[in-house]
Amino acid sequence: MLSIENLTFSYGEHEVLRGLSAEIRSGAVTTLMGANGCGKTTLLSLLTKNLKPDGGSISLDGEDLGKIPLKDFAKRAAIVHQKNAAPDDLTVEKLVSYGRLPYHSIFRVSLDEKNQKQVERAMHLTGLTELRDRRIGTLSGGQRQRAFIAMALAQNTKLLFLDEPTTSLDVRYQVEILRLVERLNREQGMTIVMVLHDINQALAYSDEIIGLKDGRVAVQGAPEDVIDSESLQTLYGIRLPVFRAEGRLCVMAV
Amino acid sequence: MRAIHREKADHRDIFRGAVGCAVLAAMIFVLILVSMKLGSISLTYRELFSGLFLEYDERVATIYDLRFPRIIVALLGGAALSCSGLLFQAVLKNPLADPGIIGISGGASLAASVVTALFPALYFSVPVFAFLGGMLAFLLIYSLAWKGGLDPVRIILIGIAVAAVFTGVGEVISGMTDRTGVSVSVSGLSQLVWSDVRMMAVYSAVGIAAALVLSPACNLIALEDRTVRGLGVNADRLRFLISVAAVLLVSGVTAVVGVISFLALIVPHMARRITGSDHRILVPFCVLLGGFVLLLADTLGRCIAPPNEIAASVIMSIAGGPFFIILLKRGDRHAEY
Repeated sequence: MLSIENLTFSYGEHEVLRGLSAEIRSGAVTTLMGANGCGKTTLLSLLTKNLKPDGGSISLDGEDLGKIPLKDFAKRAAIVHQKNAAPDDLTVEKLVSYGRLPYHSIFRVSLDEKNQKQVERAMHLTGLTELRDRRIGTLSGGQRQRAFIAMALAQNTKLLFLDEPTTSLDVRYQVEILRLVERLNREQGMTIVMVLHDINQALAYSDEIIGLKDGRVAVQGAPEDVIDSESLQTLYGIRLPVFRAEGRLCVMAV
Repeated sequence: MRAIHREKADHRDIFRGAVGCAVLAAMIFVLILVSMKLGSISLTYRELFSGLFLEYDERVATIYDLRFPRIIVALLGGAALSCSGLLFQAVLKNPLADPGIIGISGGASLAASVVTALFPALYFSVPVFAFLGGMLAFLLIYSLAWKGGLDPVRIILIGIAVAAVFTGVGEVISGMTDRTGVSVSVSGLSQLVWSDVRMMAVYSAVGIAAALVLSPACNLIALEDRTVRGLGVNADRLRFLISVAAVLLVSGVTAVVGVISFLALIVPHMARRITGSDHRILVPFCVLLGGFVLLLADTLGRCIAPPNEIAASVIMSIAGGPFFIILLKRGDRHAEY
């Protein structure tokens, strides 16, 4: 779905990505991993057209990303950012309906039936239908995150990017969000690309891991195949025991 | 069933906003009646009515020429200024932004003074130059304050510095031109004539219409810029359009009545408190509330110590300063998750 070839990017003198190449498979959940400063957030920004590469190329379904207009891109890929702001008194439904902006003018007063249907679908998938009239300021952390995911879902895209979707949530909401992501992948056939900080969550919910180190791909493949003490040492510079519990690969991160 | 349920909360907000606007309109009507009557010439409403519509009365004619333009300019000016403040606050994501405090009015006023002093014949296009001056000030502040993002306090600090420079230069110019007998400092709300009303009406109407059209865009840019971009919308372009409308609104007012600070800060804040954060409601509400507040300030200024007048801008500063401090202490009301 996405092919990244020989990508380079630097902030001024500081080289972040040095010839990074990777393939992101259609229909899979791919997680970008790596230590702080390894370039995963930069890579996500490049993949979502928030930054322009210095060199190399990214293509989406064979099309050069740089040549896809912003509005068209928004119909093909949706992004849930880590930091989200909204007025406290905005209703959930109104926020979710912003997800239809790629399909109509912002000066339009109300949504037609087709657009409204997508809003309903997005609220249904995220379990927000009952909360549609609630104000954003009155929601819990997990509900709020679901509302922003619903806005992205209303864009009705095949591809969904999530930047650390579980950060600053209680563990219960973290799992809730990751299960939602899993469902979106399995039931809606969405291709997911996300950045996760928690290694165990990355292992449990990813089909594919892309581990970055010094601006290059150091590890890529299914978690079962590529994650062990060695590869974690490469990625994070610390030796951690990897074991199996209840049939799952786990990392003792203490 | 679903169709009725849909937009219920949204509809309720809009209905409440409409009720608020109606109440304000009634309050403005009453205030106009009071303001018409107050002053050195005292008349009964019966005399006023007959003088205006039935037969010529010298005293009514004086009131028509002196008090009426003043009332209308106060209403229009308050409306335009408040609306401008609302737009600036949306664009700069900063509830403390006030075109007077951050130097936009200063830029507009300086350009207006220079043109008035050097080219008095260009009277009717003074607001155009005021607009250019305001735009220049805005771009200056925006580019100086931009540091990978807009920090609310940074904008205010840089704006205050820019405002101080413009005020200083303005004083120098007015000092130099005073000898020629041409007064370039704008006189506030006193000594206004009907041509001022006409000029202000044109610029305010255009600006307010633009603000109404742009109100959904103001709502949208309350989200993070990257989020807006992810929805396929060019946030920078929206921000530019809203800024142009905001500068236009403040320039038209400044060219006629000079700099009035704090009004554009207080009114949008009160409006948000009453109606919430939806700009489709906020814009009309601010227009009405702003007109009401400035007319109230001007009317009070005329009555507190007759025959002396206290300028509306002075009243706004005295009332607005403490208000600004309270807001500063409370901090940003925009929530971030």
